[in-house]
Amino acid sequence: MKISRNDFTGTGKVYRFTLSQMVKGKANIITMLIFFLIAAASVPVMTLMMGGNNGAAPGEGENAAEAVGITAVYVRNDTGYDLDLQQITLTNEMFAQTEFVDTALMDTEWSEDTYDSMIQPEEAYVHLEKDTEKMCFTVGAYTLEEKDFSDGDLDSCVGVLSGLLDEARMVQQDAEPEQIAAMTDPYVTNVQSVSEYLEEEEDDQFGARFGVQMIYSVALLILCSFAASFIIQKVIEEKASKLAELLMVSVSPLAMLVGKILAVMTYIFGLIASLVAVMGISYVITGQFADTSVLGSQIAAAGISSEILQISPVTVLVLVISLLLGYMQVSLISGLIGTGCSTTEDVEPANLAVVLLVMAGYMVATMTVGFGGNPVLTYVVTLFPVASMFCAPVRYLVGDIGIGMLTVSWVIQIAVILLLAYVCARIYRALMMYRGSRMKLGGWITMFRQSSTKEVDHR
Amino acid sequence: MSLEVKNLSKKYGEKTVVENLSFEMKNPGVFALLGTNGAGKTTSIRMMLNMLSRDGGEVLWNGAPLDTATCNVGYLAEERGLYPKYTLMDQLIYFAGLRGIGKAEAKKRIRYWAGRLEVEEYLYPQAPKTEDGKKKRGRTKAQAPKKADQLSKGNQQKIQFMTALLPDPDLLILDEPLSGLDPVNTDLFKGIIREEIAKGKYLIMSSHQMATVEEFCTDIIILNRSKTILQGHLNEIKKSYGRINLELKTETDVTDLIQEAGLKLVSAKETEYQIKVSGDEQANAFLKLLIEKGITVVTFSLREPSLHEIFVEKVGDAHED
Repeated sequence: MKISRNDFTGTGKVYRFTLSQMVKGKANIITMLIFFLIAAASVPVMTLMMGGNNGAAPGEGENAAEAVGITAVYVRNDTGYDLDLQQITLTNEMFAQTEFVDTALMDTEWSEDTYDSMIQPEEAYVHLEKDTEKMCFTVGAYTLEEKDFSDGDLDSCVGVLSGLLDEARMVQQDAEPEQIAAMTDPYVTNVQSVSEYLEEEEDDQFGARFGVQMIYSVALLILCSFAASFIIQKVIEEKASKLAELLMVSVSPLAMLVGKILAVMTYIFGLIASLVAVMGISYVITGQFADTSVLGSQIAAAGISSEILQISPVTVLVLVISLLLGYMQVSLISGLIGTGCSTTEDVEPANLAVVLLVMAGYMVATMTVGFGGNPVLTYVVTLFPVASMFCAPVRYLVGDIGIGMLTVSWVIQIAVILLLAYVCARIYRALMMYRGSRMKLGGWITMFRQSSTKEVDHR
Repeated sequence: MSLEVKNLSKKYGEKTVVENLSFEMKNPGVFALLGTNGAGKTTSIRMMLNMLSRDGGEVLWNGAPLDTATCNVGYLAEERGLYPKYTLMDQLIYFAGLRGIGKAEAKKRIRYWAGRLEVEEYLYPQAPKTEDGKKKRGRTKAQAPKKADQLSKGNQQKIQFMTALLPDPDLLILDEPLSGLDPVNTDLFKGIIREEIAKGKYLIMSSHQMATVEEFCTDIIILNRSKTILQGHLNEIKKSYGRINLELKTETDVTDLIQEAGLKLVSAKETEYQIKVSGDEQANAFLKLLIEKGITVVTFSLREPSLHEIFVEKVGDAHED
């Protein structure tokens, strides 16, 4: 039996009708609204949970806890260099709430003997001067006995003023900003043994690989579960409503199935795109009152970086193609399983059969992700149907396989899709007319054999 | 136009459900497909419409294999079906669209058939009126588009009949079209069927209601246990049986005379008798006997067997075989 163009006549009409009824369905509208609400709420909730509640008002919340407790610093500058004290407030978050006052601009005479009558417990007095005898600069910091901030805050204050003085000295020597940056950039030290270092690197890599595999697998699992549920429901709905005969006068069974698959695909992908858009809008709005960068930090902390994902237009294309191939395989299987049922009571068992199949692929993907170093296992899970739709794109993204192996995996998946379409073309008509208990695998094989025999007879 | 069904056969495993069904419709009219339950009528129709694969045979419309590309077919299936939760209008437009009818034309046809089948109130719900006779503002529940599960079975059947009629088919196949209808709606359907016949359409009708079949059909085929047991033009079949039913009404009891004449008394109610005769000669001889005996004959009517009688006789014979 060959699949001809006529088999697809009417697909567009089935597609439009199915999609319009899905969009009009009250249950679907309610589900969509719930999803949209969850998507909209997810960004602010996650931001708040991760401590990003002070983005729009720096100095509050977590950053405020890190800020020094000094409200004002009175600076007497006898170094001979001009110090831009306002720059500290503007560029250093720790001192964003601290006022730096140049005592030279004040009427009062400041000294180590008089400062205690002029400052409050939350204020400090700092004297910077050049000691010509010792050929050095000295920075003296003075507070009241009963001060309202820690010694660490005072140390930080001294440090930042010392740094400012260093910069001023370099500027006077005509140093360029890049040169100043090169000389003043901070550095982080990390002291550990070689074994500790290697172990940490391996943990980071595994965490990242597992994270990527989980995210993709869960996305595909949700997509497939939704697709299976919708398609089985639509197919059984027609059979249970005894519409098969009425429809089959006008349109081929294959067109009926393909129309439904495409409609469900449009609905689900449209829903996903809408949810992403809602989340994007929510992200922008949340950014107005909270620090949304914590979300990126959390993802980065999990080791999922643009480097490991190899993010590029090609990556996006790989993911889209892989999702579509996975969707098509599960949809055709769902269509066949759904058509083997006759009543709405069979919806759940039919759904379960598809979900179990998809779950098997999901489990294989997540359980084998840690064995990236084993090429045989990688190739098996990349090429074996069902597992491949979960594994192939991720293994490509994390660099376990190249584009060649990914292409082979896709070719096998396309072959599976064509095989399923061929089976559909042969037995779908008979399945549509089938009435009885839910058809098992044996029944399908018998039906397929019978259709083969008839074809031979007709020849 | 012509329809030709040649040697249509179907087996399920070892069981033959249709065996070499053949018939031809050269002219417009109604062809009846009759048979006992499970005789293979619906299976034959499904095979004709390519819903079921055939083990043998072919169906030709104007010499070409019958399908929706070669023939505009309307079909009222035995298993009535509508989407229960979708609005009727959406469904009808969809079914019409599948037959290549544009939305505007579909709406026009739906409007016409809604009027003919008296289902306008479900397809075009009106706003309820207030006490002063004005229509209520805003859409009320009564105005909401109706769904199939809100309709009675009979009204659902009307909508399904409409789906068969919407494409203005050349070939209309009706599987048990009148089953489950009340007398008023039965007459409504019959009226539409008569109109379609008058328009020169080809109709194939499967039914258990022999009186209805007799009312419309020109040619019949009777199936029993997958086999054709009788086939031909209805009037000719009847003629071949001859006038064997005698309806007699007298003023006195003639039971003894009936037995004396060797006739088979089928039923008797007071002095009204249903008698089987072998033909005109035997009937005439009996009439002569009645007159000779001075019996006053109120009614003496000879008629051919009804389709019901032919059906029962043929199926009974087949069972005995």
